[in-house]
Amino acid sequence: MTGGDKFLLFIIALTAVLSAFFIYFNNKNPEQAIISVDGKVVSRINLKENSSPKQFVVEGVIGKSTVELQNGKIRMKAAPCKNQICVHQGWIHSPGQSIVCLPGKIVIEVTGKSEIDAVSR
Amino acid sequence: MNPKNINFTKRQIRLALLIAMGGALHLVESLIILPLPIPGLKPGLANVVTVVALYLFGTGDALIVGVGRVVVGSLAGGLLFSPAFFLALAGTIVSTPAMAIFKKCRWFSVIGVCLAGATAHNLGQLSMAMFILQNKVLLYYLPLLIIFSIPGGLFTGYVMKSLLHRIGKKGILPI
Repeated sequence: MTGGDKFLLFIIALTAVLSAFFIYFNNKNPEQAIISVDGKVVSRINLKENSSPKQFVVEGVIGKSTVELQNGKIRMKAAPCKNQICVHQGWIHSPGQSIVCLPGKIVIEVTGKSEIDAVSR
Repeated sequence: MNPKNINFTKRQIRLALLIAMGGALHLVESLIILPLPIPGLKPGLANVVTVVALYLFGTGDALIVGVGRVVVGSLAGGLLFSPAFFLALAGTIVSTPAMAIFKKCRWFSVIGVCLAGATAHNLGQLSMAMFILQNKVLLYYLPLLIIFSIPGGLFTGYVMKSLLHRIGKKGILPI
């Protein structure tokens, strides 16, 4: 490795840390799950108020996907896509986490103050 | 046949061989799912053939090999024109010129070039994913993608270093 390589490595690591700082600690929305299809928000769910199991259908671009809620967590239960990456991601609950279904253009994201914020206060 | 035609044929064969190897690596890599927080993250082994083309034949040929191996690999995997295909295509189209620029700078060795390529590849993929989804929630993955481009870039960089060393010694691709 030359000096230039090491400098580049340092710059990449620094960019990662700085972007992490800006993206993860700049979250001021109330804690909720936002489901959007093709860039448009289709529903907002308060995870804390939905502790009993519940499921519903989201109409994606390539067909119907099933979303399940339980104990303040949310997951993609079933999807019509080929690779099933969104289903394998499992349950999510903390702010900043998201489930993405690229073929169906469905995004589930949990917003709100991050847990690290809450601890440091 | 005159020498010009022979050179053209030689170039075609070399590029075809690299595309075939890259396509195979691309296909194998797309079957590996690493236990990482980002779905579909790979070490970037298939990108090695693009870097080989860049070092042996130049920027234009590297771009041909990069796009070619994505098309061939996706076609073999049954993923042609799927989101995964467009993500890989965006990554290649962004990373190849980036690597060419870093190669022109005298400050960086092949490892630095691969690091820059891996980072550019991930940024290109993320931009394409955000464009497909029309949603900025994917920015959540940005720091992770940048961080994971370091091991990926170092890995392909050291593979390339040993590869170039061997090519220099024995002079492979004798056609």
